Amino acid sequence: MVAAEDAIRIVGLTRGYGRGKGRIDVLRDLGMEVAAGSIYGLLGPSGCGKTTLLKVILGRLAPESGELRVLGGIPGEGGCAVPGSDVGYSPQEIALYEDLSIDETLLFHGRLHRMSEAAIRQREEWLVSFLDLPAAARQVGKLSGGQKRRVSLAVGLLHEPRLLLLDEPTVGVDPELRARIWMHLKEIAANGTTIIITTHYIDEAGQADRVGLMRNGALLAEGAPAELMAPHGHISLEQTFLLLCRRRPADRDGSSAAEVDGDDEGAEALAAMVGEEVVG
Amino acid sequence: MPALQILLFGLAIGGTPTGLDFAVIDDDAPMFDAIADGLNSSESLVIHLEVKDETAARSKIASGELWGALVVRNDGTLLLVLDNSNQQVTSTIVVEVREAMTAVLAAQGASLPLEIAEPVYGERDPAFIDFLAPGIMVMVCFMFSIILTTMAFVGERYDGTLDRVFAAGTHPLEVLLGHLTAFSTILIGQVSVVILIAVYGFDIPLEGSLFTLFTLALLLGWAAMCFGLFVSSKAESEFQAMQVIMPVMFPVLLLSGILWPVEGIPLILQPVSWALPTTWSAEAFRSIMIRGWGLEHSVVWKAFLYNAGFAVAMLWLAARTLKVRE
Repeated sequence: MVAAEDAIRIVGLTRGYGRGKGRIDVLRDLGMEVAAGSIYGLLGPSGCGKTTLLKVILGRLAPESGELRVLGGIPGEGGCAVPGSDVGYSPQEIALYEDLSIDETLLFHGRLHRMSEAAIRQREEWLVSFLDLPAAARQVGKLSGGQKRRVSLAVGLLHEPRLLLLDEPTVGVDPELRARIWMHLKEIAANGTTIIITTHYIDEAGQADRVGLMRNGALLAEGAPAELMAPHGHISLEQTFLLLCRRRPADRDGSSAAEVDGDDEGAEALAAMVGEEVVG
Repeated sequence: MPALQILLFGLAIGGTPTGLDFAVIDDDAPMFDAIADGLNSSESLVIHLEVKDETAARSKIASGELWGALVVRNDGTLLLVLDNSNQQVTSTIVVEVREAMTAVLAAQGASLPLEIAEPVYGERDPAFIDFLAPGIMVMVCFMFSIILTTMAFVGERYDGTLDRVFAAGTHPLEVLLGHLTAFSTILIGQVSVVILIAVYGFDIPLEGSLFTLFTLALLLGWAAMCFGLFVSSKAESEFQAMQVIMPVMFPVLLLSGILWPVEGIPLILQPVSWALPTTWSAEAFRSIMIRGWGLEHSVVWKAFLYNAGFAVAMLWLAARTLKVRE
């Protein structure tokens, strides 16, 4: 059954890199549904496949098997504006041309989406004040890491796409601005924009409508933050995550010894990550 | 870079060697004075008259003190003894000796039975640089154009900007043409500098049309840039891109008829020569510059056609390799 309100629907998605001995499986039989006009927070340690998943949704990577529908179409195929003007993407790397100024960067990306110059200027004015960006004439290469990340986010938001894929947009952004960004995301989600956001900040993910806990290329658990926490009797998302990670190796059917080893490593990494969050 | 390359080439290559030590040996021959005077006036040779006989001359050549010696014999014949270890030096000396002899014969109202007519193309004494220069210009244009584009996508792949541009729904061909257009401004500047320095700076003859030469150089540059884009679309790292480019450079220099005529390359390798756009271009450059030919000659229009075809083929391959959806 295909729910009409699903902006993204993924069933049995598999994707890896390389062939033969050098092959790495990144996404393993992953399923996911994201309702239109909602914020989906994707949580997990680095290397768990978050970025690969975003690139598959974006149509930059082709799935090896499984079904994928994004905004009612198949990414990269006729009639689907993903990749295209229906999607805004803010990659984990800064991914900006260092030689351009902020103004030129926005102009370039705006033109890729066939926006008029006036429309670009109007958005630019708003984005500069909203994201607290330095003067638009400043060269991107000379900005600080946090400023570059905000410009990167501005490029994703520029053309007001129906779907936003944000890969760790709030790293190195101060808490006050982070709160403002989340407020804006909630606002545009209420107006119908679908947002998938990956983050390392677990507390931040608590503000999402749904959270997916991802590890080793699959979702460990998925649900509204409150729903996820309730059955485990834990008060925080961190502890729920940690508990799920520890239980997972035993749950998995037919997993080889190597995979269990991999899981243990992952669990340690997660524990370390969660620990940091608690301390921080 | 290309300006520096062509400058160095013009300065280092093709100048007539000077200061070559050369002995003229007197055997009381009547012709001696005339020949010694003739050779003395040459800028290339430093004439030594103190060497007494052929044996002494041979030992001085053997020890490296002399490049050669001319023995003027009593019976009116001449013997030229040479250190033939450097072909350019030898040919310089032979030319000087021949000129001196011709002058002496002319003074006596005689001449060699062979008369060399004004050449149809080129100069009376073809300089090595006139053969080499068009080829080197081809080489320089080809090399810098490849380098311009080879790294184009390597960095963009790594820093994610390519992901972002593709996310906006661009077609690979648009991205490729964008790079090509942007780098073309540099190409036009570089090609102009190379041609201007060669033709006006070093007086390398240009008998044909400057416009034809310039257009062909641009086409060659585009062919090379498209090849660079293709390599770039396939390469996963800078190292890998360089690994492909370096082995291409050497055959281009050796097999394109730049240093040596393609006709002198073993038949089995000639197809490789003719697969390189530089071979067609070097032939055409020489024809335009020395023969003064234009597009009406097949050597020239075939080079235009081959470069254009090569560029389109490489662009097509690059567009196929550079996938939005991998």
